[in-house]
Amino acid sequence: MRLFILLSWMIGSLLSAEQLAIVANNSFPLAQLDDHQVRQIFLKKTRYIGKTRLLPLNLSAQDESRQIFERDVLRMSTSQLRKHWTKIHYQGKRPPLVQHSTESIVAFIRKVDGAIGYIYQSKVPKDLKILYKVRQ
Amino acid sequence: MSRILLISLLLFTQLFSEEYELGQGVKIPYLPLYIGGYATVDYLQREDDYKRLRVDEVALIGYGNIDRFSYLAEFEMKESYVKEWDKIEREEHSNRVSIERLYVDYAITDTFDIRAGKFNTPVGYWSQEPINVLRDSASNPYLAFIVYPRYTTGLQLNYADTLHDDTAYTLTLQENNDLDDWYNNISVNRHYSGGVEHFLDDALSIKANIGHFRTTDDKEFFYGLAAVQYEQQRYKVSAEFGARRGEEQWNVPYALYLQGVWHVKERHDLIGRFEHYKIDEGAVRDEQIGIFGYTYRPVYPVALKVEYQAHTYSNENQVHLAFSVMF
Repeated sequence: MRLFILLSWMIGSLLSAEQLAIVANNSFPLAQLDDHQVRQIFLKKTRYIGKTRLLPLNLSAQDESRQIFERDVLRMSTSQLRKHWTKIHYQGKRPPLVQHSTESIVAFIRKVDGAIGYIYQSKVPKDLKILYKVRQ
Repeated sequence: MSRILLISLLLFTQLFSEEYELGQGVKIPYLPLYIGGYATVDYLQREDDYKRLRVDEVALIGYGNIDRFSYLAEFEMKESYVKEWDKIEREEHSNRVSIERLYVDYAITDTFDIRAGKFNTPVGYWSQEPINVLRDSASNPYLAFIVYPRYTTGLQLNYADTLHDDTAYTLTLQENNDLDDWYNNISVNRHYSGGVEHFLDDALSIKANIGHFRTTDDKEFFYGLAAVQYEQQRYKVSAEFGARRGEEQWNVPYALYLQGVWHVKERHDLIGRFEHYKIDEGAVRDEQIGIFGYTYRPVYPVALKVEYQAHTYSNENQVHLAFSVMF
């Protein structure tokens, strides 16, 4: 019983420590990004890199990985982001496109150059490149 | 036109209710077009017993992008209803629809873009979010009306390497009449300005602008403005200092404000602002204003504001209430 509890605790810890990765397809013009650059892209302050138009992708608001991404990478609360996107709307810009699953994010990124999203590192397929690993 | 604007506003959320989120606008199916807008109703009462109720702004915004081009059009009914109580009672309706902004952007490279049309003059911070629902306070500081033309009709060139550099540069050029002369604080047919903004970190930025404009009655002015803004999760502090000089003298020797916003808790903000300005255009007006306000936002795109203003000219002390929404 003790062994079972210990194993459950270890597995639980490993799962909760799973980290997000920022990914794009291989045509993405940069090999790596830093946290400032990721924020600039997902807050729609950077729209192009070279000739590539960037298309940041979000998961739906209730998704755990989106909440982690907003807390640890964007470092903004939900209300701060709501404020940001309302101001962006006044400027004629849109928030990132919302996809409803990690699978749709992966499929979208495979098909569209410039698309960029966040998924758990364990779910990153080999044909996508990791631009940034999120440290929690 | 005004009827179309109002009907659009009323039907707006119903037509697109399934995909609609307040403050985000809606996508028009099959077109590169998003539609949104905003509205404000406000009431003020001065110590000299003047009272005013008005529908201050009702506006529709349309925007979208095609490849490296993007566009934005904003049409507004300003003061469509005003009722005043003074020595006599007065009530006015207006159906006039004005062009507040109308422009096309083209991204020349990833760091350099150009804008053509009518747009908010990119001077300081206040001018970039001039509508009631986006700003923290119910009122605007005087500085925003007396130093520079709030709108420019011409070209705007922007350079910003947002991935690698912390500094952005802006240049505006106008050598023609305003697209809608009625909708500007200063009527001009020439306006050149340059600005630089530097981000010291994610919270703190500073900005400096200089400019020159010629009014439609052929008077020439130069102006300068410096601004700083600091914003964290709980606090926001902003300050701007500007001055404007005519051919013979400083018509606005100084105009400044310092504003602090305290996000007391989710949805509740307290605002304090100090203003000081001097205008010398025939008559001299030198005034200090202290403002204390509270803003409640059940959700960010809806704001209920109450504000008390203490003026040097004490008969202008006033209470200002405002309800605004962005959709």
